[in-house]
This record gives sequence, C-alpha cells and structure tokens, in this order.
Amino acid sequence: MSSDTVPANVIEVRDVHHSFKAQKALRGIHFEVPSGSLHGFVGPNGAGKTTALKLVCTLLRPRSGSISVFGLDVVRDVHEVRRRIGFMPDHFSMYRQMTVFEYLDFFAAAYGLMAPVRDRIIRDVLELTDMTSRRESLINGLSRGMQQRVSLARVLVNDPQLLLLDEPASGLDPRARIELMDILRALREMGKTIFISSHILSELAELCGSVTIIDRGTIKFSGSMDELLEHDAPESVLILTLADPPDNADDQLSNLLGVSQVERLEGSSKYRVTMERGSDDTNRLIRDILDTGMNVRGFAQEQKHLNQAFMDLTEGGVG
Amino acid sequence: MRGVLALMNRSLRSDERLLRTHLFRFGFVLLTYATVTVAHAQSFFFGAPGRMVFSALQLLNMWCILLAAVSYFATTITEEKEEMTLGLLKMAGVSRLSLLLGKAAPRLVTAGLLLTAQLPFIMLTVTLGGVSIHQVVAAYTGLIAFLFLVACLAQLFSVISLQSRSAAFRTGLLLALYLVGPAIARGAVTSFIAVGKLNPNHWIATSTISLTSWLDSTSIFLRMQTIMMTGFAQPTISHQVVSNLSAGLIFFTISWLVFDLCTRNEKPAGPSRGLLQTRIGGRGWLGAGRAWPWAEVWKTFNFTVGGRSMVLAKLVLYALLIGSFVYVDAVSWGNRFQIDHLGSITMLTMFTALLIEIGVHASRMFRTEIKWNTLSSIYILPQSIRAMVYAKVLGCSLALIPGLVYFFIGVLFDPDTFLESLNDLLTEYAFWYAVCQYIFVVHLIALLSLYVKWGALPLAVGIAWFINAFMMSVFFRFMIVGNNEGAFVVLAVCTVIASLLVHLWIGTRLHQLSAK
Repeated sequence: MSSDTVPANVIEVRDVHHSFKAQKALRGIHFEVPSGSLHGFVGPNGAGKTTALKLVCTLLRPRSGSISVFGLDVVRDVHEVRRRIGFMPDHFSMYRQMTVFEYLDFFAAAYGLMAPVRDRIIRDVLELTDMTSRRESLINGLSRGMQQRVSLARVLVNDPQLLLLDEPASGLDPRARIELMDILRALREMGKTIFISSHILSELAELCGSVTIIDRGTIKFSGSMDELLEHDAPESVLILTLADPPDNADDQLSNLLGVSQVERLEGSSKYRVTMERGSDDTNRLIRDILDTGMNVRGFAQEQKHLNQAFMDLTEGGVG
Repeated sequence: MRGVLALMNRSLRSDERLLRTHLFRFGFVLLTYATVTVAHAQSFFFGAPGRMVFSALQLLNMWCILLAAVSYFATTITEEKEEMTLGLLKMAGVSRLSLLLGKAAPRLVTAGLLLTAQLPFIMLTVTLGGVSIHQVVAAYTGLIAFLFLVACLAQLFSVISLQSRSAAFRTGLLLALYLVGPAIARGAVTSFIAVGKLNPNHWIATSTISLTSWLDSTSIFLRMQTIMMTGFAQPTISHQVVSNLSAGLIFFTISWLVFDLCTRNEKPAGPSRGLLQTRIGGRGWLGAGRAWPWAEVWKTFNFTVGGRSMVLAKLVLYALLIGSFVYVDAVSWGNRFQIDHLGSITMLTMFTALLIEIGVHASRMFRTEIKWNTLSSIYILPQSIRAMVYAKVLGCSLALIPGLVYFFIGVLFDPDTFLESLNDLLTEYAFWYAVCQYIFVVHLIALLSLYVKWGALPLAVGIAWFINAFMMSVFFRFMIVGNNEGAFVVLAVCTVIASLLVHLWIGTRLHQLSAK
C-alpha cells in the first residue's frame, strides 16, 4: 500500500454550495473526514448525499466553497485527486460484456500500471473480494452481490487511500450485505479511509467511527458516532441489573438523587433508570444503590440508536 | 379498450412534457422552411415553383417517415422490455391487443400531427401554382398509408427483438431491401439477360421481373413521382395505398400473434460481446487479450467496434462484396475479367464502405457508454476528457483497417485511375467543401448520439443535407452567382467553424453526462 504522507483530515469540505438550475442541492455544507476512519454519510432521499460525493470525487465542480482531498484542491489538482481516490457510484456502472479479469485489467491499465504489476494487483483484489474463482466469468452472468464485489475490486486496483462508496449495499441480499461489510472492515484495517453513503443505519452504526448527517442540503451533524449518540440528549439512561431485587425496588430507585424515571423490564431483574442530564453521575448512583442494601449485578449505559439520532436530526421528505 | 386509452393517455402526456418533443417539432418546421427556401431559390432557374416546393416537402416527409421507422416506431415495445415494465403492464390486465394499439397509436397520432404542421406551406404551394388539390390529397393519402406500413413493420420487429438496437437495425435493413432491392434485382437479371447468361423466359427472370414490378407499384417513392406529373388524374386510393395498408395490417396481426411468444421471458438488457471470445490464453487470439497501455483504445477497439474478430469478419465480408461486384462487372463485359476494373471497383466499394463505417462508429462511440451508465467510471480516471475522446477515436479507427487494406490493394491494381482521380479532386473546390461537410456530419453524428437514443446517423445526415442545400441556395442565388470557387471557400470556412463549435459542444455535453 502507498506510503504517501496523509493529512489528519483526508476530506475537508468548506462552505460548499451547489445547485442544479433553480434547485439548490447543497447550501453551504461543511465537514471533515479524519484519516483512516470509516465515515458514514447519511441523509434522506434528495438530501444532497450523491451531489456531495460527486463533488468530492471530482465528477462535479463546486459552484462556491472549497473541497480538498489529501490537502489537494479538487478543482485545481483534479488528476492527482483522481489518482488517489476510488469511487463506487450508486448505480451499476460496469462494462458487463467484459469478463471480471478484462474489467479489472482495463482499469488497472488506465491507471498506468504495467502488465506484471496488474497481474499481482488483480490477484490481490480478487482474493480480498473473494472473487478469484470467477476471474474468467462474464460480469453480465454474475449475481448482483458478485457484481458489487467486482465493482469494489475495480475501485481498489489503483490502491487508493480513500474510498468513496455511494450506497454500496443497495439492492443486495442479506448475505451479500454482510460479506460486503466484512470486506469494508478488512479495508479499514488496511488503513484505508472509507467514506460511505448508505441508508442502512444499523450497519453504519456498527461499522462507522464517525458520521455526517445531511438533510435538505445542509449538514445537521458531523463528528464521531459517540458524539452523535450523545448529541442533544436531555437525559441519560442506565440499564441496571440487580441481584434478587426487592418488590419495592422501583420505588427505592426512584427516590435516589438525579433519577427521574424507573421502569422494570418485563420478566427480568433489569431496570431502565433515566437520569437528568447534569446529575447523571453513574458512580454516585451505584454507591447510593449499594447503600440501600440492593446488590448490583451489572449496569450499562443505554445509547441512543443511530436510527433515533437520524430521525431527530432530519425532517424527512425531499428537500 | 381501457388499457389502450390508458397507454395512449400516458404516452401523449409524457410526450407533451418532454422538451425534446417540442424541439423536434420546431426542427421539423425549420426543415420545412428550409425546404421552401431551397425550392424558392431553385425556382429562379426552373418553372412551377409550387410543384418544386411540394416535391421537396414530400421528399422531406418520406425521409422523416423512414427515420421515424428506425427510431420512433422500432422502440414501441423494446423500450418496455428494456425497462422491464412489460410484465407489470401484463399483470395489470392489459391485453396484448391493447398493448400493441396503446403503444403504436399515440406515435402514429404524433407523426400525423407533425405532418399537419405543413398545411400552411402546402396551401402556399397550391397558390404558387403547379400543384392541384387532388395531387395534395393523393400525396398525403399515400404518405399516411406508408406511415402505417412502416409503423406496423417497426412494431413487429420491436415485438420480436430484445433490444431497441436490433429492432432498429432489422427495420432499417428490411426497408432498405424493400426500397432499393427491386431495382438491384431487376438490374442484375437484365444484365444477365443482356449478356445471354439468362433466358428471358426462364422462370427466375420472369418471376423476378413480376415480383419487382409489383413491389415498385407499392412503393411510395414511385407513387410520388406519378403524383408529381402534370395532369395527374389517377384515383386517390391507389394500389400503393391499398397494398401499404394491407401489409401494415398483416404485420400488425403477426405482431399480435407472436406477442406472447416473444415477450414471455423478460430478460434485463445487457451489452453484447459480439464475436469476441472470452478466453485470455490459448484460443484467445479472437478475444480481447490483455489491456493495452492505452487502455481506452483497447476497450473501444474490442468492446465498441468488435475487436480482432470483427476485423476478421469484415475482411471476409468485404472480400465477398468486392468479389460479387467484380463478377457482375465481368459478366456485363462479356465474361472478361479486367484487372484495372478490379482495382477501381475495390477502391469505390471500400471508399463507400469506409464513409459509412466512420458514420456508424461515430454514432456508437459514446452511445454505448451512455446506454450502460459507464461514462462516469471512465470520466473519473486520471485523464482529461479530451484524451479520453481521442483515445476512443483511435480505437474506432483501428476498425477501419480491413476497408483501408482493401482500398490500397485496389490502388495497387489500378494506380492510374487512383492518381488521376486524386489529381482531379485535389484541385476542385467542391471536393474540399465535401471533405469539410463530411467532417461536420461525423461531428454532428457524435453530438446527436449524446442526445438521442437512436437514429443519430440518419438524423445528422438529414440535418446536414438540408443545411447544405439551404446554404448553397442562399450563396448561389443571392451572393456570388458566377463565382463558384468563392462560394465554396466561404461555405467551407463556415462548415469548419461549425465543426469546431460542435467539437467543443461534444466536450461540454460529455462533461454534463458524466456527472449525471
């Protein structure tokens, strides 16, 4: 893999506006993608995700504002940026009349790689995407999941440090989706920065360390996944497991300092304890519970799910 | 009938919303206006201005109907197949008859409405003199019958074919055979009879003559010639009208009969490899092989213009074509084979083939990328759009090798004719103007292929022909009569400027399409 110096932020988008005729697609968006991260990019349909991705990958030119990739301006240094990125569009943009090998060989040659190097790289990317056995198959005859893997292999032939993936899992069956996510994890472990636009929030939540949420052409949130899940939450929730809880455990817990609500989870000795933000000192709460004579078997902070954060931050509908 | 009306309604509404529909109508009116202007300019040299304009308009109409056959009508059913919507329509309870009627009728109505746009001009031709109302009615009746025939024929191929491309090709091929086939067949038979190779009473001769005469009597082109004659007094409902309508009905019935059979299994359309083999090693010499360092050239050569397999096929096909022409030539010269004739026939055949091939490649060079959504994936490669386009041009040029090889073999056989022709042509202003025109046409084909799905080639040829006729008329009539060289120089400069503008326009359009 390449040893080029990589800045702290691989993508920096600053106050970018873009419109299609009278339709404003982006209204001054601003976000960064840290190096080596797997960064999710989510938003409702028509929010401006694909436009933003196309601007970053140089398919479109920003009307105003600036975008830098690896510190390079996407307008001024367009060829160098293209050399260092791999873009997978949301539609199946493939030469389906080619065999898998011909397809990868063509793109590798287009990046200026010589035949022996191409052989090695194609072997590696086919192995990574588990497509070695399909090397001589016609792309047209492959399943959608396999075609998506070939598409991902194509993105990797120039050994890009940044992968831009637009809805890579759309239209895939569950198995193909899980396999794709495994490949993305492997790529992240190889040090690649992955910027992935997707609608499948559960998988993004599991995969991504950071996320940007866009709605109607404006950025609603950009930062780490932990920050997002804590973002604007008025209260924190603790899931508490007690050993042999007394019958009045609910009342006892409710009387503790900072606790606003207690709910026993049906059929278990687990309690969902809601605490007001600002008075949510977990250590103190545990001490107070032990002082009442109840035994704590375990506890965990309940995190807001990405779905909820997404719903809270976006308004829905096409912008 | 509910299905027919629903489909008609949808089709007419979506047509009305599309800008290109209105642009096409506007273009048609412009062409009509250009035709009138050309006829007006020519009327200073010839009499009967009304008839001149009327004839030119009918020629325009016939050309447009043929163009519509291979583009507009040939996609009636294939467009539903390609979008995988045919099954949904069937599931909605739309019968095959409703589907056929509902898809064809709005297109026929649209085409008919387009013809009515000419009414003011037609009235003008009657006023100008040389044309009677009876001739107008007879001509338009014949045209409508011909329109019905080509629409039903194109729809039949649209039912049979999996893709619009093959439907358009088959329709075009059959129409070409129908329109020029009889003349070729009759010419061949007459030649064989003249040199004593065929008895005039032999069944091949008699049946060929009868069949071709009958086909001629159904041809709109010959019918138009009859209508244009002074003192035309034949009935409006002619043999051409009856035969065209009957044949149209037969084609429609066949479409209805084979509809279920041909549309039973919906398959998503995919690009074809043509004759290319898939193996890399061993017998892979007919395959694409390894990508070349100029990857785009390799890809275009193999996957757009057919690669080595197609080169080989063309070498065989052209040899057969030249061989048959040489044989007919030898027969017509009393079984005498002449080496210089072989040379000139080869040169002429290959020159024509190369001109056609270049046009075809220009129409397909970008179209295949757009059709299969692959333009963005090559646009994002670290190369300029200019480099990508020129690599494509180079890739297509490699497909011209068979034609060029035979052309130079022809030169070797008859160098004198080649050198004399070259010497004559190079000093002719008209030749250089023709070269500029051809370059313009090729650019126009490439540009139009970025806007229209089918028919970029005939559309570009038609537009260029009318622009050329218009410009020639204007220049020779109003500006520089008596100084042809000067007119050709001005026209050539205008054409070069137009080509440059189209060249830049192609780049801009490619940029737009890549980002879509």
